[in-house]
Amino acid sequence: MDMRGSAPGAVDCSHSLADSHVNIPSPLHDLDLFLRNHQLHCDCGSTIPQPLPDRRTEEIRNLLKRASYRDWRIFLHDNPDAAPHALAISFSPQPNETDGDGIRVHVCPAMTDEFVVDLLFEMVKHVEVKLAHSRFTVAA
Amino acid sequence: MTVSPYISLRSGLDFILSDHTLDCPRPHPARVLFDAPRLEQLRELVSKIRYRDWKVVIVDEEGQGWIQVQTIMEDSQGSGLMENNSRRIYLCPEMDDMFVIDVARRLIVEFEMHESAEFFRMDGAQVFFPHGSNSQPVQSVLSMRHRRPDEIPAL
Repeated sequence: MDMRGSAPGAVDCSHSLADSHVNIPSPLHDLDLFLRNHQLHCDCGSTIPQPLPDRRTEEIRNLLKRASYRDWRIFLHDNPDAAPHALAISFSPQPNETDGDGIRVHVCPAMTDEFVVDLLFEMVKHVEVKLAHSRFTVAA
Repeated sequence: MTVSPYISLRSGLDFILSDHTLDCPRPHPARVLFDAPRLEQLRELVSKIRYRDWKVVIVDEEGQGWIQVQTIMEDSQGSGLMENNSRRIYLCPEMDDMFVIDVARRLIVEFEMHESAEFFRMDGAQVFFPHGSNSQPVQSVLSMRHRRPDEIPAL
Protein backbone atom coordinates (compact mmCIF):
# COMPACT_ATOMS: atom_id res chain seq x y z
CA MET A 1 0.00 0.00 0.00
CA ASP A 2 1.37 3.37 -0.96
CA MET A 3 0.64 5.62 1.99
CA ARG A 4 1.56 8.91 0.46
CA GLY A 5 -1.43 11.20 0.51
CA SER A 6 -3.15 9.26 3.31
CA ALA A 7 -4.46 11.05 6.36
CA PRO A 8 -1.82 11.45 9.08
CA GLY A 9 -2.25 9.86 12.50
CA ALA A 10 -2.62 6.23 13.39
CA VAL A 11 -2.04 4.05 10.38
CA ASP A 12 -3.21 0.48 10.19
CA CYS A 13 -0.99 -1.28 7.68
CA SER A 14 -2.28 -4.76 8.46
CA HIS A 15 -4.30 -4.86 5.26
CA SER A 16 -1.62 -3.41 3.01
CA LEU A 17 -2.15 -4.26 -0.61
CA ALA A 18 0.34 -4.63 -3.39
CA ASP A 19 0.40 -1.03 -4.54
CA SER A 20 -2.61 -1.97 -6.60
CA HIS A 21 -3.82 1.57 -7.13
CA VAL A 22 -0.53 3.10 -8.19
CA ASN A 23 2.03 2.08 -10.74
CA ILE A 24 4.76 1.12 -8.29
CA PRO A 25 6.49 -2.24 -8.66
CA SER A 26 5.67 -4.45 -5.71
CA PRO A 27 7.41 -7.63 -4.62
CA LEU A 28 3.94 -9.11 -4.04
CA HIS A 29 3.64 -9.33 -7.82
CA ASP A 30 6.91 -11.20 -8.31
CA LEU A 31 5.47 -14.69 -7.88
CA ASP A 32 2.55 -13.97 -10.26
CA LEU A 33 4.95 -12.61 -12.81
CA PHE A 34 7.22 -15.61 -12.41
CA LEU A 35 4.35 -18.05 -13.01
CA ARG A 36 2.90 -15.98 -15.85
CA ASN A 37 6.29 -16.03 -17.57
CA HIS A 38 6.32 -19.80 -17.25
CA GLN A 39 2.84 -20.10 -18.74
CA LEU A 40 3.82 -17.89 -21.68
CA HIS A 41 6.72 -20.16 -22.55
CA CYS A 42 5.08 -23.47 -21.70
CA ASP A 43 2.60 -25.69 -23.46
CA CYS A 44 0.56 -26.00 -20.28
CA GLY A 45 -0.65 -22.41 -20.83
CA SER A 46 -3.18 -22.54 -18.01
CA THR A 47 -3.48 -22.69 -14.26
CA ILE A 48 -5.31 -26.03 -14.40
CA PRO A 49 -3.21 -28.71 -12.69
CA GLN A 50 -1.50 -30.94 -15.23
CA PRO A 51 -0.83 -34.63 -14.59
CA LEU A 52 2.76 -35.64 -13.88
CA PRO A 53 4.32 -39.02 -14.62
CA ASP A 54 5.09 -41.04 -11.48
CA ARG A 55 8.82 -40.76 -12.05
CA ARG A 56 8.72 -36.95 -12.19
CA THR A 57 6.51 -36.85 -9.09
CA GLU A 58 9.13 -38.85 -7.23
CA GLU A 59 11.93 -36.58 -8.47
CA ILE A 60 10.09 -33.48 -7.26
CA ARG A 61 9.33 -35.15 -3.95
CA ASN A 62 13.06 -35.80 -3.49
CA LEU A 63 13.98 -32.27 -4.57
CA LEU A 64 11.61 -30.77 -2.01
CA LYS A 65 13.11 -32.89 0.76
CA ARG A 66 16.42 -31.16 0.10
CA ALA A 67 15.02 -27.61 0.34
CA SER A 68 14.60 -25.77 3.61
CA TYR A 69 13.85 -22.32 4.92
CA ARG A 70 14.16 -21.58 8.63
CA ASP A 71 11.63 -23.83 10.42
CA TRP A 72 8.99 -23.52 7.72
CA ARG A 73 7.35 -26.60 6.27
CA ILE A 74 7.21 -27.53 2.62
CA PHE A 75 4.39 -29.80 1.52
CA LEU A 76 3.77 -31.68 -1.66
CA HIS A 77 0.06 -32.23 -2.32
CA ASP A 78 -0.94 -35.15 -4.48
CA ASN A 79 -4.04 -34.73 -6.62
CA PRO A 80 -4.67 -31.09 -5.65
CA ASP A 81 -8.16 -29.82 -6.40
CA ALA A 82 -9.10 -33.42 -7.25
CA ALA A 83 -6.85 -33.38 -10.32
CA PRO A 84 -5.44 -36.89 -10.70
CA HIS A 85 -1.64 -37.24 -10.91
CA ALA A 86 -1.18 -33.49 -10.38
CA LEU A 87 1.02 -31.93 -7.73
CA ALA A 88 1.04 -28.72 -5.76
CA ILE A 89 3.68 -27.32 -3.46
CA SER A 90 2.91 -25.28 -0.39
CA PHE A 91 5.21 -23.43 1.95
CA SER A 92 3.99 -22.64 5.43
CA PRO A 93 5.66 -20.54 8.13
CA GLN A 94 3.65 -22.53 10.69
CA PRO A 95 5.56 -25.78 11.16
CA ASN A 96 2.44 -27.69 12.15
CA GLU A 97 0.02 -26.46 9.54
CA THR A 98 -0.37 -27.55 5.95
CA ASP A 99 -0.96 -24.09 4.54
CA GLY A 100 -1.38 -21.63 7.39
CA ASP A 101 -0.25 -18.21 6.17
CA GLY A 102 1.56 -19.98 3.38
CA ILE A 103 0.85 -20.34 -0.27
CA ARG A 104 0.13 -23.19 -2.69
CA VAL A 105 1.31 -23.45 -6.30
CA HIS A 106 0.64 -26.16 -8.88
CA VAL A 107 3.57 -27.96 -10.43
CA CYS A 108 3.71 -28.21 -14.21
CA PRO A 109 5.34 -31.28 -15.80
CA ALA A 110 7.59 -28.99 -17.86
CA MET A 111 9.15 -27.33 -14.79
CA THR A 112 12.80 -28.31 -14.47
CA ASP A 113 14.54 -28.90 -11.14
CA GLU A 114 16.21 -25.49 -11.45
CA PHE A 115 12.84 -23.89 -12.10
CA VAL A 116 11.30 -25.59 -9.06
CA VAL A 117 14.11 -24.28 -6.81
CA ASP A 118 13.54 -20.74 -8.15
CA LEU A 119 9.82 -21.24 -7.60
CA LEU A 120 10.37 -22.31 -3.99
CA PHE A 121 12.41 -19.18 -3.36
CA GLU A 122 9.77 -16.95 -4.98
CA MET A 123 7.18 -18.61 -2.72
CA VAL A 124 9.29 -17.91 0.38
CA LYS A 125 9.74 -14.30 -0.70
CA HIS A 126 6.02 -13.92 -1.31
CA VAL A 127 5.05 -15.22 2.10
CA GLU A 128 7.75 -13.15 3.85
CA VAL A 129 6.57 -9.97 2.12
CA LYS A 130 2.94 -10.70 3.04
CA LEU A 131 3.97 -11.29 6.65
CA ALA A 132 6.02 -8.08 6.66
CA HIS A 133 3.01 -6.09 5.46
CA SER A 134 0.77 -7.59 8.12
CA ARG A 135 3.28 -7.02 10.95
CA PHE A 136 4.09 -3.42 10.08
CA THR A 137 2.01 -0.94 12.09
CA VAL A 138 2.31 2.63 13.25
CA ALA A 139 1.06 3.44 16.76
CA ALA A 140 -1.29 6.37 17.30
CA MET B 1 8.03 -10.90 -22.70
CA THR B 2 11.72 -11.19 -21.79
CA VAL B 3 12.49 -13.39 -18.83
CA SER B 4 15.00 -11.85 -16.48
CA PRO B 5 17.82 -14.13 -15.38
CA TYR B 6 17.57 -12.52 -11.95
CA ILE B 7 15.19 -12.87 -9.03
CA SER B 8 14.33 -9.45 -7.68
CA LEU B 9 14.87 -8.45 -4.06
CA ARG B 10 13.43 -4.98 -4.67
CA SER B 11 10.62 -3.50 -2.62
CA GLY B 12 9.89 -0.52 -4.86
CA LEU B 13 11.90 1.72 -2.52
CA ASP B 14 14.27 3.01 -5.22
CA PHE B 15 11.26 3.61 -7.44
CA ILE B 16 9.52 5.93 -4.97
CA LEU B 17 12.81 7.69 -4.20
CA SER B 18 13.45 8.44 -7.84
CA ASP B 19 9.80 9.48 -8.16
CA HIS B 20 10.41 11.93 -5.32
CA THR B 21 13.54 13.23 -6.99
CA LEU B 22 11.60 13.95 -10.18
CA ASP B 23 8.82 15.81 -8.34
CA CYS B 24 10.89 17.59 -5.71
CA PRO B 25 11.51 21.32 -6.18
CA ARG B 26 14.90 20.92 -4.51
CA PRO B 27 17.81 19.78 -6.62
CA HIS B 28 18.85 16.18 -5.98
CA PRO B 29 21.16 14.58 -5.15
CA ALA B 30 22.41 17.88 -3.77
CA ARG B 31 22.96 17.83 -0.05
CA VAL B 32 19.73 18.99 1.57
CA LEU B 33 19.87 20.01 5.21
CA PHE B 34 17.10 19.67 7.77
CA ASP B 35 16.32 22.01 10.61
CA ALA B 36 16.65 20.35 14.01
CA PRO B 37 12.91 20.46 14.93
CA ARG B 38 11.91 18.56 11.76
CA LEU B 39 14.48 15.87 12.40
CA GLU B 40 13.13 15.57 15.95
CA GLN B 41 9.58 15.23 14.53
CA LEU B 42 10.78 12.46 12.24
CA ARG B 43 12.47 10.70 15.13
CA GLU B 44 9.20 10.78 17.05
CA LEU B 45 7.33 9.56 13.99
CA VAL B 46 9.53 6.54 13.33
CA SER B 47 9.56 5.65 17.04
CA LYS B 48 5.86 4.77 16.57
CA ILE B 49 6.62 2.18 13.93
CA ARG B 50 6.13 -1.33 15.26
CA TYR B 51 7.76 -4.21 13.44
CA ARG B 52 8.88 -7.33 15.30
CA ASP B 53 11.62 -6.14 17.68
CA TRP B 54 13.30 -4.05 14.98
CA LYS B 55 14.02 -0.34 15.26
CA VAL B 56 13.65 2.34 12.63
CA VAL B 57 15.99 5.23 13.38
CA ILE B 58 16.72 8.68 12.01
CA VAL B 59 20.40 9.43 11.69
CA ASP B 60 21.54 13.07 11.73
CA GLU B 61 24.78 13.56 9.85
CA GLU B 62 25.59 17.24 10.22
CA GLY B 63 22.05 18.24 9.29
CA GLN B 64 21.52 15.62 6.60
CA GLY B 65 18.79 13.19 7.65
CA TRP B 66 18.97 9.48 6.93
CA ILE B 67 16.62 6.65 7.79
CA GLN B 68 17.79 3.15 8.65
CA VAL B 69 16.46 -0.11 10.08
CA GLN B 70 18.47 -1.64 12.91
CA THR B 71 18.03 -5.04 14.47
CA ILE B 72 19.81 -7.83 16.24
CA MET B 73 19.16 -11.13 14.53
CA GLU B 74 20.44 -14.63 13.99
CA ASP B 75 23.39 -14.75 11.61
CA SER B 76 22.61 -16.86 8.55
CA GLN B 77 26.08 -18.44 8.76
CA GLY B 78 25.31 -19.76 12.24
CA SER B 79 27.60 -17.57 14.33
CA GLY B 80 24.80 -16.53 16.71
CA LEU B 81 23.11 -13.17 17.18
CA MET B 82 24.55 -10.19 15.36
CA GLU B 83 23.72 -6.54 14.87
CA ASN B 84 22.29 -6.09 11.40
CA ASN B 85 21.49 -2.76 9.79
CA SER B 86 19.75 -1.93 6.53
CA ARG B 87 21.26 0.46 4.04
CA ARG B 88 20.80 4.13 4.91
CA ILE B 89 18.31 6.10 2.85
CA TYR B 90 18.62 9.85 2.49
CA LEU B 91 15.67 11.97 3.55
CA CYS B 92 14.62 15.30 2.11
CA PRO B 93 12.73 18.02 4.00
CA GLU B 94 10.08 17.93 1.25
CA MET B 95 9.12 14.37 2.20
CA ASP B 96 5.97 14.33 4.33
CA ASP B 97 5.31 11.95 7.23
CA MET B 98 3.42 9.43 5.11
CA PHE B 99 6.23 9.28 2.59
CA VAL B 100 8.76 8.63 5.37
CA ILE B 101 6.58 5.83 6.76
CA ASP B 102 6.34 4.35 3.28
CA VAL B 103 10.13 4.49 2.97
CA ALA B 104 10.46 2.69 6.31
CA ARG B 105 8.00 -0.01 5.28
CA ARG B 106 9.77 -0.65 1.98
CA LEU B 107 13.14 -0.67 3.69
CA ILE B 108 11.85 -3.39 6.02
CA VAL B 109 10.40 -5.43 3.13
CA GLU B 110 13.72 -5.14 1.28
CA PHE B 111 15.56 -6.29 4.42
CA GLU B 112 13.24 -9.30 4.79
CA MET B 113 13.77 -10.35 1.16
CA HIS B 114 17.52 -10.09 1.61
CA GLU B 115 17.26 -12.37 4.66
CA SER B 116 15.07 -14.81 2.68
CA ALA B 117 17.97 -15.31 0.29
CA GLU B 118 20.37 -15.73 3.20
CA PHE B 119 18.28 -18.44 4.87
CA PHE B 120 16.94 -20.41 1.88
CA ARG B 121 18.86 -23.67 1.67
CA MET B 122 19.34 -26.69 -0.58
CA ASP B 123 20.98 -29.60 1.22
CA GLY B 124 21.68 -27.17 4.06
CA ALA B 125 23.74 -24.85 1.84
CA GLN B 126 22.90 -21.33 0.74
CA VAL B 127 22.19 -21.13 -3.00
CA PHE B 128 21.07 -17.52 -3.51
CA PHE B 129 23.70 -14.93 -2.65
CA PRO B 130 22.40 -11.43 -1.89
CA HIS B 131 25.83 -9.78 -1.63
CA GLY B 132 28.03 -8.47 -4.41
CA SER B 133 31.75 -9.07 -4.78
CA ASN B 134 32.36 -6.03 -2.55
CA SER B 135 30.11 -7.70 0.07
CA GLN B 136 27.51 -4.97 -0.29
CA PRO B 137 23.84 -6.09 -0.49
CA VAL B 138 22.52 -6.49 -4.04
CA GLN B 139 19.00 -5.91 -5.37
CA SER B 140 18.64 -9.23 -7.18
CA VAL B 141 20.09 -12.73 -7.20
CA LEU B 142 20.89 -14.95 -10.17
CA SER B 143 18.10 -17.46 -10.73
CA MET B 144 18.95 -21.14 -10.71
CA ARG B 145 17.54 -21.73 -14.19
CA HIS B 146 19.81 -19.10 -15.77
CA ARG B 147 23.08 -20.34 -14.30
CA ARG B 148 25.85 -22.00 -16.21
CA PRO B 149 25.95 -25.73 -15.48
CA ASP B 150 29.04 -25.28 -13.30
CA GLU B 151 27.21 -22.66 -11.19
CA ILE B 152 24.35 -24.98 -10.26
CA PRO B 153 24.67 -27.02 -7.10
CA ALA B 154 24.01 -30.68 -7.82
CA LEU B 155 20.23 -30.85 -7.82
